[in-house]
Amino acid sequence: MSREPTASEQTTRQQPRRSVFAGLSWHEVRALLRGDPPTERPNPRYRAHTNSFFLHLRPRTYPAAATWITHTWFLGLLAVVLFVVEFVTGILLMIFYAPTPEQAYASVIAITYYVPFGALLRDLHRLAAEAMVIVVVLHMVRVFVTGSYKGPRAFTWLTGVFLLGVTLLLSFSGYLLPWDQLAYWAVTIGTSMAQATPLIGTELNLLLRGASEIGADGLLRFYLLHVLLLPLVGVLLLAVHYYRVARHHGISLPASVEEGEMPVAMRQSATRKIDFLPTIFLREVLVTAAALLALLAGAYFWFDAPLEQHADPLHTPLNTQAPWFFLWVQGLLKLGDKTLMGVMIPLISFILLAALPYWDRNPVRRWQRRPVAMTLGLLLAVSVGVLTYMGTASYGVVMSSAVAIVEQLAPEEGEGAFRRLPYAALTPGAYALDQPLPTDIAPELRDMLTTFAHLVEDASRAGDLNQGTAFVEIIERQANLKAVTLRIIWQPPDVDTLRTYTRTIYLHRDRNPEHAALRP
Amino acid sequence: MSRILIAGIVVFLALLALLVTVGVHEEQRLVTAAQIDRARQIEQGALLYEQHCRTCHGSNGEGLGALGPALHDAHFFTGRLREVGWAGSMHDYVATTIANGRITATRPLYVGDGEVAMPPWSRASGGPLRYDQIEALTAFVLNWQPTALGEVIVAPMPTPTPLAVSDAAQIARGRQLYGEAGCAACHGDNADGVANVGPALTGIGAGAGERVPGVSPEEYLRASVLIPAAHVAEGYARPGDCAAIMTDVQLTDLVAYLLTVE
Ligand code: HEC
Ligand code: HEC
Ligand code: HEM
Repeated sequence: MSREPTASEQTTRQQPRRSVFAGLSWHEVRALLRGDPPTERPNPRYRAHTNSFFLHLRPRTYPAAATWITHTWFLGLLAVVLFVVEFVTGILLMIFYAPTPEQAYASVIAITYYVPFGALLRDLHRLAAEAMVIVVVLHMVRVFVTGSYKGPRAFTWLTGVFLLGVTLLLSFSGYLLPWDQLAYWAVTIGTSMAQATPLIGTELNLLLRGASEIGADGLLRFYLLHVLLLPLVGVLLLAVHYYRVARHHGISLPASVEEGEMPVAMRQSATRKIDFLPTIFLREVLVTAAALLALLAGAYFWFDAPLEQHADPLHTPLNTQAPWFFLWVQGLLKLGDKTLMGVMIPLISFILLAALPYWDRNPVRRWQRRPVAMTLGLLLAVSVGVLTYMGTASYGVVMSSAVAIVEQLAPEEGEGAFRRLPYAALTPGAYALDQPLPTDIAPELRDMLTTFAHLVEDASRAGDLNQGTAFVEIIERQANLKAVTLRIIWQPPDVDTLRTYTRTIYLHRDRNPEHAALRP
Repeated sequence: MSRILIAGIVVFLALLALLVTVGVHEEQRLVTAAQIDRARQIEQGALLYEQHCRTCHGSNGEGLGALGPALHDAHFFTGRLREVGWAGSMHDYVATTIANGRITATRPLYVGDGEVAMPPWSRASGGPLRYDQIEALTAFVLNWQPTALGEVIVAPMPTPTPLAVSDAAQIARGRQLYGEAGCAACHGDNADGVANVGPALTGIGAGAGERVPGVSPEEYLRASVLIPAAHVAEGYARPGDCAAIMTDVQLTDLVAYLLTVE
């Protein structure tokens, strides 16, 4: 007489496979992935939470309302996903990157142009880093709005603010590593703020830079911060942060559920338990995959990690600005004293933010009933926005009109209008723009020259460039290489000589892959 | 639940499709990227050449008299390596020459700026340029090959470049050199010419740009002194005996004077 094998016999028979799937049978894994009910009794999925290290980090069940999309927006999960993407792409980049001033830039060039999938790796790493700053800030905003920082979650919020700090510092320290002009000057500005710290400013600056100027020592320090110290601190903080969420207090219920007067039936369905396996698990896998898809598509089709000219301590670029997520500090600096604005105010804001749950003792969580907190939060958001705008290089900095116009059309860094013209449209010739243009030039060039002439005319009429005239000269210098010279001549009213501003840029046919006739 | 499953399958398929697309195009991307990088280097090299090299090798690599040899030149690309017995590649020859310079010339004709034939440019040898800049210059110099060998024709361009000379001290030094180098003997004390011996040079700065297509007044004047045979003034059957050996700085001063002499 045959009998069904007992569960334990089954377990023994399927031992190897089961140990891979945290004690689940293949049958069970399939059912789980399809979202079917458990195939065995007692529910083996709960056992998996004890068997598997990764699953033991996760709660077995969630109250339904805590997992509403409109409550968490998956932002914490997305922050973790981005952090992991940074780790993986970062380690791959480390294979090719060399943290010395002699080699750093060349190694980034090599990654971008010669390493298989190197450009994609850089784009991904940079895009995910910027996305992470945004996602972490949004996560904080949602925790603030849902009032989830109160009560038992106060310390979780505190670790969160430090995580935000680590995220910003990771982005900032990574900024220097390509060792291009963008990196060098943004970080020079950033670390010069350390100098303004009261009492220990000079020492702090020296500690960061390794010398009075950023050089080999500074680069190595930023490198070690970026690949070792900050990730380590980040992982430890995240462990504490998430352990508290998973084991200590769980994800908060939406305030409307916790505080609201709901019909009993609705309340019951909002607080009923949902299993992690499979419901939450499948949902998270889906969100993760969608995030990876968006990231990969963004990096491949749209985002290009910036790389300017090699860092040059002797040549300050026209537009030096801090990384975008620190522009608000630069905006503050334009308002006044370096120590007060650049160090004290950011530091005090950070402390106030970290300590928010300890001074905001209002137990009410629904945002509709916290007018003061909401107003303050909105005020903070608006100030950061305004300060960021004020921090941009173009705000409040007067550039001579001639330089500004030339910079707009043929910038020192980046593309600019002239570089975007098709190579063939750059008809060689000398064009005095106050005279009729020759008829046989390409229409794209004609438009460009007309734009240039108008810009100078407008400035001339506005009195900036008195009697200003513009010239453009296009010369074929070598095979597939043209020199484009832009020149503005004007007569300042207070002196009797003419003034000239000239810039020559070189354009190679193959520089712009869209226009080049590239042969394999 | 099945909605999630379907969404999951769609997302995974899309992810897979994107990864395959990326993978399939990577080989072509690497080819394109290498070309873009070379183009980037040539552009950067052109800028550096303008700053550091054209004073000896000429704006178009045509060479300037005793100051520096032609680089935009068929012999340079076809026979030079054999001539100096260089076993390596052209790229390495050019890069090494730029990096280390030449204390003494391999050809006695070239005096450079009078101190060394060509100064070293790499930081390792005490020069101002980084390794990547030397690579960029090398790419730029090598890009003369197709035109030097006549495979590609680049249209010459008339380029009237008004060069603003305003440094009075420089002009004064140039004026003094004009006397010391013996130019006055044939061109007159005030550069107003000596009948049947040498033409007046007054106002030459204004007109020199129109004499030869593609040559700026500055270069025209340099060439007149360095390689008198390069251009012959109207009304003269033979080139004048203008040649004088001087350092590059001196020559620049002299040209500044000639550009402004009225
Ligand atoms: C002070 C004048 C001077 C400057 C400036 C100068 N060179 Fe030279 N260069 C020379 C001379 C002279 C020679 C020839 C030496 C010889 O004959 O051995 C030479 C030789 C060369 C050669 C080898 C040519 C050959 O026929 O073997 C190359 C390539 C070269 N220079 C590139 C450059 C580049 C690139 C720069 C700018 C960074 C530069 N030079 C700047 C004077 C100069
Ligand atoms: C032995 C007489 C003689 C001496 C010395 C001399 N030149 Fe000349 N130069 C001439 C003659 C003749 C011409 C006209 C033929 C020609 O263009 O080569 C001329 C032409 C020129 C031209 C070109 C003029 C033009 O209109 O194209 C310049 C520039 C010039 N000389 C500069 C100088 C300088 C600078 C010196 C001093 C270093 C100098 N010359 C010394 C005889 C001389
Ligand atoms: C690297 C940065 C961060 C990561 C990876 C992270 C991760 C997470 C995760 C996965 C959760 C679970 C709930 C959810 O998904 O919303 C969570 C909850 C929470 N986080 Fe973060 N977080 C980060 C930064 C922050 C910051 C900057 C703050 C606030 C200043 C913060 C405060 C909180 C709080 C209070 C909770 C509990 C929310 C609740 O119970 O509803 N976290 N975090």
